[in-house]
Amino acid sequence: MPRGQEITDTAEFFERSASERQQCTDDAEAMLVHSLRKSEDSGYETLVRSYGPQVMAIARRYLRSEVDAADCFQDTFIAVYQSIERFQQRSSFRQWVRGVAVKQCLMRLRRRPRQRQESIEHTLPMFDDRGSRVDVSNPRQKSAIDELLDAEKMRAVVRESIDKLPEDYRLVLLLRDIDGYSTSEAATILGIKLSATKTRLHRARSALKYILEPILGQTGCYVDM
Amino acid sequence: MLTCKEFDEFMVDYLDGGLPIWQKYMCWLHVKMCRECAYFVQQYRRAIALEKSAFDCPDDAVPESVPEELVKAALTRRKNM
Repeated sequence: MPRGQEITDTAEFFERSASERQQCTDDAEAMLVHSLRKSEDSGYETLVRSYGPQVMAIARRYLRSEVDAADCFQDTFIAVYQSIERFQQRSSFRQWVRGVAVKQCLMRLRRRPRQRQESIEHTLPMFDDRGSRVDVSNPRQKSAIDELLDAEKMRAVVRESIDKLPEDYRLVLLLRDIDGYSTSEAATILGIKLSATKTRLHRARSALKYILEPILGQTGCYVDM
Repeated sequence: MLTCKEFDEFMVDYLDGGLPIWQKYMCWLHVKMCRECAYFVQQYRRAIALEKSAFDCPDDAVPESVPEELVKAALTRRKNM
């Protein structure tokens, strides 16, 4: 195809209404699901190649190990393939694959030996006898990082900070704030009570706030408040 | 008026907008009246926003981040089932 023609087609694609594009995506997903249900090799390859980056990103995020992420990558696609009949289109196919990937990650994490977790007690809100808030600011805030971090460095610092959290807290944060599950969905996925999920979430966010305090003053540049 | 400790217990639901109107009002009032909690909420919200921005488009991993050998291994594994 001539290069000029390609550009025109691309431009046309972006000029389409969002609903038309959504329709294209829905049609492509429906064809893929149909192909998987017929156990077609081409369907499986399309699945792995199209959804691979998404699944790998999830696996790396949850597992923090390249080896485990690679194993989980394969397990996820096998699980999708084996349970395709259970996909009932209550969510998009992409969303469903994400859910399968997250569950595979959590299963793998549960099989890992439990490691000793660092206490985050000193990062949590504290109150005096009358129930008034006591300042527990991060002492490093006073000597906040002078260098203005660019957006990419900022992201790296935040990701490292999340990785520092104890597993129970890190997981609820990823499910709720990053992967967009509701608090009750996160509770179901983790197999804990809703009240416990809320407590963990609040503790995780409070700990993250404490850890990030040295750079929170810089966030105005990158975060739309 | 709520104490800071009572307000803190409502924080997740308050920020999610999941409180009944009366409790929501009580929390709002507390934040208006308490400088410490207002600052805490501001920093807490910033931390959440920063956390989310660190994973903007979390699934938009670059295609080359999945090694071709891994893709092939996944395809082979299914064939061997």
